[in-house]
Amino acid sequence: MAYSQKVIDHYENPQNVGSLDKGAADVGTGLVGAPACGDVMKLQLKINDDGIIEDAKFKTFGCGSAIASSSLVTTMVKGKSVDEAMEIKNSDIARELALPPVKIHCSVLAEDAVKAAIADYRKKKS
Amino acid sequence: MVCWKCHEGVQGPVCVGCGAIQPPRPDADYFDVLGLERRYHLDGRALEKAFRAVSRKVHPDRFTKRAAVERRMSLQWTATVNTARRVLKDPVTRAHYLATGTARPPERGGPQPDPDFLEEMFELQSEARRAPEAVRDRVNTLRADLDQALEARFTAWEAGEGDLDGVDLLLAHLRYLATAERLVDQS
Repeated sequence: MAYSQKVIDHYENPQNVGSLDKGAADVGTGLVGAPACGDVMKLQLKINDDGIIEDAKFKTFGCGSAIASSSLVTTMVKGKSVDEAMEIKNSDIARELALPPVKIHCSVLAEDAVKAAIADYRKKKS
Repeated sequence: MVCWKCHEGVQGPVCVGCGAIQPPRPDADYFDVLGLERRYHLDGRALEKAFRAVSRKVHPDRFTKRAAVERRMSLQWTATVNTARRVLKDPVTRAHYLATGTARPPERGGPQPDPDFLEEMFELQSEARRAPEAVRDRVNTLRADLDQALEARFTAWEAGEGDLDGVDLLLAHLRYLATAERLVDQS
């Protein structure tokens, strides 16, 4: 199966790989798995007091599409409000990367990771 | 079941009375399609034998002189029989099919492991390059446990004890291990 050029670009030059301080009060961590393929993704968001996402980092060791999906989603969420980030749909990611049907779960993983990170942040705040 | 053509009672893909092939049911159970008992412990030779027997009955060569509708049904049957064989041949897809009615997990949703397991999978997948031997050992240990658990579940189920709830989660665990193992192999 051929990857689209956008997947290859993100795969060869992934954006925002790394981690943030898991214990910090302004960092939300999402750890999610894709049961369909067995890939795991960790995504962390640094959120300021105005609810704006200042930084985003991810780590995943799965296939090219999983790496590209998480790389893309970190670039999408930066500068967005938490509410705006919650609106990101996996279909936005899949369309941008031209993912084939068998790789849709990679974009689902990225969407779920953002939601899980925000949920973790909100739990810390409450 | 009644033959759509001669209205006599019919069993199996082809009417014994008039020789008409019957419409394949889109929701047909793959074990039914091949005339096999619904079991996880399935003899590979029995599967091949059943596959060849049904394939012969529905083979397009047998229907070349029949109406277009029957030729089309023959092709549909052939596709269904091939799929049934492919799904039931592999123990993992067979297990998934018995537990959920589908050969593979959905692209969205699906069973989620508990956070501790996911955390360990993340650790194993991230350590695969740095410590391939240790990761491989741990993967093998966890896989042996899962294989044993699956074996126990299906053995009990075949004896009429218990259901297959949660088997799809065990199969998902195997896929997380497979990703870790693939990363070790690539290291």
